[in-house]
Amino acid sequence: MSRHVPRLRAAVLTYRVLVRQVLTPGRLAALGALGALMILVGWLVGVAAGDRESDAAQMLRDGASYADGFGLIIIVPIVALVFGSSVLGETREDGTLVYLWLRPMNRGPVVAGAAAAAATAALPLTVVPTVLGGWLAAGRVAGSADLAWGAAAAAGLGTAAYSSLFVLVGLLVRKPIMWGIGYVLLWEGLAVGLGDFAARLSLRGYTRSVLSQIGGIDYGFDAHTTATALIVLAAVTVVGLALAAVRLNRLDVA
Amino acid sequence: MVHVSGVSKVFGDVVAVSDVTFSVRAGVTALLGPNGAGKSTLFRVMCGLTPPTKGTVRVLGCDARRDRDARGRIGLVPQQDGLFDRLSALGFVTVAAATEAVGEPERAARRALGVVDLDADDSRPVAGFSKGMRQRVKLAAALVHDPEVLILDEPLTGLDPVQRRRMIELFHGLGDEGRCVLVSSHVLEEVARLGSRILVIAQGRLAATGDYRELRELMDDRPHRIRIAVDRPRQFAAALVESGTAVGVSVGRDSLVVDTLDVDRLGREVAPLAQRLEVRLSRVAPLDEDLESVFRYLVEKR
Repeated sequence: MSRHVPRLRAAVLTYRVLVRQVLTPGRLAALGALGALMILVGWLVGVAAGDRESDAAQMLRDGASYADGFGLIIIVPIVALVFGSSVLGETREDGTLVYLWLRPMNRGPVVAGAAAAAATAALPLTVVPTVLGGWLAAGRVAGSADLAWGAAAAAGLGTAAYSSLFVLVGLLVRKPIMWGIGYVLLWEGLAVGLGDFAARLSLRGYTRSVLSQIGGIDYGFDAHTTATALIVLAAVTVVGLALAAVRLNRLDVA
Repeated sequence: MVHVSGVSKVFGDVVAVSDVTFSVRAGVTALLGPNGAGKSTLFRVMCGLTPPTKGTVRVLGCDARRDRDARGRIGLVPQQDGLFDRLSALGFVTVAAATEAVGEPERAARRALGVVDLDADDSRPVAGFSKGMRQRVKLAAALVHDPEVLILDEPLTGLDPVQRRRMIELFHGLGDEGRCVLVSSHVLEEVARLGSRILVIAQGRLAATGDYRELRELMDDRPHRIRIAVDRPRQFAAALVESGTAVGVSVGRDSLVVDTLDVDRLGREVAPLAQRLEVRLSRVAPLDEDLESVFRYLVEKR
């Protein structure tokens, strides 16, 4: 007798189990507070700019810079790191991975379902503060709706790409949060300032390009084209998932 | 149904399993060994959860690590206590059924929970369950897809005596249906009740195989050391040596330690001898009945 779980069903089952496991009250409170801080500071930035009677174009640039500097550099990678690295990494640590691993299911759908669970948990906590924070920091001037769309696209695509990457990291190393924070702060935080080549190797270079291009705001850096940014972010997402599936297949499961 | 051939598993400098070979057919087989003997590692290798460093494992003719469909024919109760803690027992076992490609997973889950005497309508998350209840949830999840091979790593841990008896009956029932049921334990009495075939593993090596009676005889062949508390130990020791029951004696102030090859005979003779010599016998206790010493003997003998 031979039976196996079809790919889509395997992904959906994995998603349904892991999305509940990964959403803990502690994580929601801590990461929700970080998002609330971004929104609050964005509002203060917008009020201060209104008091200075800055021109609308400058306020839009300030709003985009804020969405980039707080949302895309800090909130998106950190939130994706917490959920992405733990969604399978934690099951590996606590011994529950065996209940997904020793099943007649292909590894690819399991990884895809896990990444979707991580992204589902992360998206509201990345997109909402990045959009609202940027929009409020821009003082809600004309054109800030475009900024909001750009921020939403950048945060959403960035969350997907980072989640995929950190699902892989969660399967590769113990203590993935430490490794991930090191990567986010040292590489993603600094790489963009190290020149064009280094910037091409950081996801932030592409997420901020999406923000700039879709938002229609030039805020002072050499942006990639929208197509390039979208292709690279999609490619990172897919390659991350594929490598995670290979890693899962070769894993020593406790 | 399960063939393990020359399997070794090494973690860094630690040899967890060393050159183990055996075959297991339908029915209940117990894997007996002290903690840290390599039982769980061997089970993990058999399920494909970790590859062997050397040797091969075939479960139903397949390599479970590589063959996706073979994984669906194995039911595993892992030693780890971890469960998806936010789910109820029904939720957990239903997920197990669905991920095992069982049609009507909830119905199958209810049936499996009934088999292990758990209430399927208990909506509490399994995080709040006792150790014994969690153990039974794991067992239900392992049974839910009617696997041909069941690998149960210390499944009786945390169960009360009534539940243990029920589960042992269940294992025998599954074995009688033609399934291969492998159960590990470090408790000799538990294995005695699990019965049929026994594999003894110690220090990563297969120390002995056979049915319980053979193994018991093998263990009974070893010298036993018994402490006997009497008021005149020197006189009692001399009588025991003279009768040929003791092969060695050391005498203390109010007791003696006897080495014997025939513990049953010693047991029969101690009380009448004390009566005949008119010595006051206050205590007879084995000094080496712990499992570790049994394993040590088997390993050394091998």
